[in-house]
Amino acid sequence: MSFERIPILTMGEFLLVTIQGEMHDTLATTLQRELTARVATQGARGVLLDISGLSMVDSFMGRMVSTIASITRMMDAETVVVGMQPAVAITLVEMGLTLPGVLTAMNVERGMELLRGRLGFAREDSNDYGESERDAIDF
Amino acid sequence: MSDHSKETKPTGGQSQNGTNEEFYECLLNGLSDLAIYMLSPTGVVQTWSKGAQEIKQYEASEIIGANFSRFYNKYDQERNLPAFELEQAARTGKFEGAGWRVRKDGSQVWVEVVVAPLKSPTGELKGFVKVARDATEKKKTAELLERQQKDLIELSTPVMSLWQGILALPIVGTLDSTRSQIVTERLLHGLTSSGCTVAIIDISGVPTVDTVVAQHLMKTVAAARLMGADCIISGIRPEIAQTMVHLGIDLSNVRTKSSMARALEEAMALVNVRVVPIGPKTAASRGYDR
Amino acid sequence: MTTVSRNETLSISEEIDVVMARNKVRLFAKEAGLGLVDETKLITAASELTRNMLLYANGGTISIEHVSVAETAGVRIRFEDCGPGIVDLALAMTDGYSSNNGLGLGLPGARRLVDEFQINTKKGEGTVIVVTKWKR
Ligand SMILES: Nc1ncnc2c1ncn2[C@@H]1O[C@H](COP(=O)(O)OP(=O)(O)O)[C@@H](O)[C@H]1O
Ligand SMILES: [Mg+2]
Repeated sequence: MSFERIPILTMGEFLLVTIQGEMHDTLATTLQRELTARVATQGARGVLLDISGLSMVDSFMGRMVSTIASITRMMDAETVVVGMQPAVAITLVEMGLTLPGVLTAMNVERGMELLRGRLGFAREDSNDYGESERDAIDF
Repeated sequence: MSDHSKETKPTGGQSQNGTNEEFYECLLNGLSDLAIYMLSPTGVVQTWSKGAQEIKQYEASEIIGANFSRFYNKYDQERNLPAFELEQAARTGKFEGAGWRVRKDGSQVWVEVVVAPLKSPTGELKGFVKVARDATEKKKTAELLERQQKDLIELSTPVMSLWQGILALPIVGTLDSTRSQIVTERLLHGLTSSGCTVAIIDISGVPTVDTVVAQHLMKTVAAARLMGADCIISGIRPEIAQTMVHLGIDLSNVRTKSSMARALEEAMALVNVRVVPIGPKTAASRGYDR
Repeated sequence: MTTVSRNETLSISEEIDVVMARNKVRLFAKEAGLGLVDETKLITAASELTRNMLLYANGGTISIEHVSVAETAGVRIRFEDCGPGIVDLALAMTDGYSSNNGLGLGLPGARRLVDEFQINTKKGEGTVIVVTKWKR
C-alpha cells in the first residue's frame, strides 16, 4: 500500500494532480508533501486538483484539500479543485464543509482558464477582476 | 402483514385428535393463494399445499425432500438468506419478510413470508412452518406508483439550456424538503452532463419561501460552487423579499436578481458573453442590406 | 416491525480498514437501493465515524445490517469501541469542536448525513453509535 503514488503532471506553469480510486490517509499526507515540494522546485504558478474520480470526500480529505490550497497560495500558486461530483458536493455541504476560499472549476480546461485569468491580473498588478477579461461578442 | 399471523396460528398449535388432521388438510388446501409448507430444522421441505404448488409451480412429489433454498435467487442464496430466515425464526419465534423468489419455470414472484418454528413440548426444534403469499401485483403497483410520482416531480422541474454554458431551472409550485432535494440533484447533474458553468434558478413560480426553502436554495448554491459552477437566483418577488428579510434569511452571499432577464444578463457576463444591441435600422444599414 | 436480513461485522484496527468499511457500506447501500446521493452520504458518515474509532479509541468494530420496515429498505451501521468515551458529548457534537486539531465536523456532520443517529458513551468504557439511512 505504501508504494502507491498519485501522479503529478506538469502542464506549462501549472501542476495537474488527478486523484482516483480510494484515497486513504497516508496517501493524502504523501500527496500534500510531494505537491508542495513540486510547487517549490518548479516554481509552479497554479495547481489543478482533479477529483472527478473521487466518489467520496470526508472531512479528512476536505481538510487536506484546504491545507494544500493554503500552503500553495503562500508559495504564490493558487489551487483549483476540479470536477467534484454532484453527490460529493451535496454531501460536503450537508456536513458543513464548503471549502471557503478554495477555487473550484467544473473541468480541467475551465480550471486552467481560471488560473490563467488570475495570473493575468496578478501580472498586470491589478486587483480589478472586472469586465476587462471578457470578450464582447456581438450578435 | 399482520393478517398472516392470524392465519398461521392453527398450524402452530398442537395436534390432539383425528379431526384436527382433517381440519389442517382443509385449511392447507383451501387457502389456495397461500403457500403453506413445513420444513425440517435444516430447511428440507416436508409437506406441500395446493397454494404452494400454485405459487411455486412445483408438484409435491418434485419438491418434498429438497431444500427450500432452491426458491431463492442466486444473490439471496449467496448471502445466506434462507439459513438466516430459519435462524431468526428459531431464535426470536418468527421471521417476517418479503422478496423476489424463483418459480420452477425460472420466473420471478414477489412473496410476503412468515416463518415460525415448530417446537416439541420440551422445546426441541422440530422444524418450521412457512407461509408465503404471492404479492407480485401489489409490489408492481407500488413500484409503478413510485415511478409515476418521481416522473411527475421531474416533469414539473425542467432543467433547460438557455445559452451555451447557461442552464435554467424554473421552479413552479411549492418547494418541500423532498422536492428541494430532487431539484438540487437534477440541477447539479444537469451541470455535469451539459458542461454548463452557470445556472439560473428562477423562483418566481414558488408561492412562499420560508427558512427551510431558503436554506435549501443556499445549500444548492453552495454545492454548485463546490463543483465549480455559479448560481443565480432570479424571480424574487417583492413580498418574498420582504418575508425573507423578516425571517432573517441572509442571501448576501448568493447572487440574486429580480427577473430572469436580469439574471440572464449576469449569466452571460459570467460566461464571457456581452449582448450588444444591433441598433436602430438606419438608412446606412438599410443601404447595406441592398 | 423492523426486519434485519443480513449483517456483517468488521474489525477496525488500522487505517486501511477505513477504506474496507467504506466499500462494505457501499455494497449494502446499493443492495438496499439507496440513491447515489444517499449512498454517498452514508459512506461519508461511516468514514467519519470509523476514523474517529481509530483516532480516539484505538479501533473497534462496526457491523452493517440490511434493515427493512414494511416496504422500505435501509442500512444500519453500528460503531462500537472500548475507548475512553466522550466526556463532554454536547461539546463533541458541536460543529467545529475538535480535541485533535481536526475540522470537528465528523460527529455533527455524520448526524446530518443520516436519518437516524443514536450515541451512547461512557467515560472509560467506550462509545456506541448506531446510524440508519432509509431508501427514499
Ligand atoms: N469514538 C470516540 N471516542 C472518544 N472520543 C471521540 C470519539 N469520537 C469523537 N471523539 C471526540 O469528539 C471530538 C469531535 O469529533 P469529530 O466531530 O469527529 O471531529 P474531529 O475528529 O475532527 O476532532 C474529537 O475531537 C474527539 O475528542
Ligand atoms: Mg472526526
